[in-house]
Amino acid sequence: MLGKLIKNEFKAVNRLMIPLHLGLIAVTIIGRFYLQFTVFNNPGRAVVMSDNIWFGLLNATLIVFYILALFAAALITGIYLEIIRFRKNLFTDEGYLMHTLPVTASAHIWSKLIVCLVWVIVDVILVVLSVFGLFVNMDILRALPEGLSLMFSSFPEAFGVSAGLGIPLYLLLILVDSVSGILVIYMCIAVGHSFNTHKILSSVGIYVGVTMINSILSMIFSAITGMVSYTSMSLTVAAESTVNGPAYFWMSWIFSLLLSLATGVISYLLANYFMTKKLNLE
Amino acid sequence: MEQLMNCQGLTKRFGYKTALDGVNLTLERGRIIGLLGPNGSGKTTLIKLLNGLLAPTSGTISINGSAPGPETKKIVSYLPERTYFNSWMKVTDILNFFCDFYEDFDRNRASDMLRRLGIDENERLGSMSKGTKEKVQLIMVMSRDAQLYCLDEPIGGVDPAARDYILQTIITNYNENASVLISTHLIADIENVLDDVIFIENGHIRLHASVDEIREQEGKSVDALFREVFRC
Repeated sequence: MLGKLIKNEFKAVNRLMIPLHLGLIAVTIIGRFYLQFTVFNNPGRAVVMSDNIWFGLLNATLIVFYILALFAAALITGIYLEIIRFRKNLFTDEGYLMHTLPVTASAHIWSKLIVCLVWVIVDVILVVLSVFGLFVNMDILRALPEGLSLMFSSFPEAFGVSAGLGIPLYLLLILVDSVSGILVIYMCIAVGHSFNTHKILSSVGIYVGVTMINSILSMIFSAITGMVSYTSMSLTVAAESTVNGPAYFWMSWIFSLLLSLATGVISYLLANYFMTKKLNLE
Repeated sequence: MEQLMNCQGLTKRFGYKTALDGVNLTLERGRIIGLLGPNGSGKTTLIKLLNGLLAPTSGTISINGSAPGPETKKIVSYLPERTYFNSWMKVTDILNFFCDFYEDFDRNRASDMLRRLGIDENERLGSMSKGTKEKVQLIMVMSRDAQLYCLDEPIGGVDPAARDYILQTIITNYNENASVLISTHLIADIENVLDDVIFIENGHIRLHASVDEIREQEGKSVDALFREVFRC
């Protein structure tokens, strides 16, 4: 049943996600052609850097437009998949169909989570590729090996462990943290919609509360260890800390991972409980 | 006769408002049951509780021996009083969806009924009238070989000709193991197909009797009795 839910979920969200990301690719290709002909093929930057104010305005507008398009693609993907789709499909009129299917609440959560995560990852990859594809030329490619080796060699100084170890571990942490972040939103929606009134307001209120608790825990951890914490939900990173070294990397990494895992697991269990035992469709 | 559904002390409160108050009710198999009552009497609340869309405040529900959950949803076919399909879906999408999730869904039966009512399977729901959407939804629900059909206001929005056809399908589709629970205000229209009636008022069951009993003992039709009991 999970497979069928995932199949139908993809079918529903692809209607928005595919055109959105095709649009992103199209904007990238058009932008690339524009840059290719105006900038890269004009070593003297004659056209762009000319004193003609209209070229300057046009280019500035195009860059703003491109940045907005990138943000829009990422924001729409996040908001639509993590919030709107979950709420609309399970807690509004469509919920009458979804919740009368012979399917467990956990299958609903997993199907939404998996489809959401796949698209969020695709979105991140496409956004990175878009920036890369738009601006990279031979000069940058030639400079890339040196830049990368510099990044790798300076990684231990900043984070306390080698890049080969640190980068995969941070990627894992970001993945766990993303999943946990999505589950928190699901939990807030599921709990908020079990109330009789002010369902959306309650959902938002619960989200604010959970975020605050998480931030406080991170702050306490930072205060104790003296590390600088970058908190997106529960991500604490030892970077730019006064106390570098492998021990601190591991301490912050394990703390962040445990906080993310705990938040995610508790959110999942609560969402499942409220969708199984406290469902309250209007 | 074997029990299909049984609820004990079923209570549902929304804040201070009590929608159902200690309802004890048993439904048997092989019956068409009218769930009748004025607006706000608890009809929809009862049906939503049976389908697990609401959790009871207290009391228990047992359908075929289980509390509402994935097991009971396999055997309960539910028509809500609102349209729950996405407007971008075509009728074929919905047919596929029901085939995917309900083992008891009979696609041929659904296609026959759609053809009979002149509904094109390639039409999008968004371009249909409200009445046509309701027909599609009812066809989906009645094309399952369920044991309990819960129909919440199934004929409110459709024209009288289609109404007759739909009632006919309800009678012909169900078997001796299945029961149909129909909530409606349009008593006169469905009176002839009903075996039993339940009168519900302010969350209490006022009456649960067979139509024959009412006719014999009261000497009047269900419609007339309803008007008398719920006189404003």
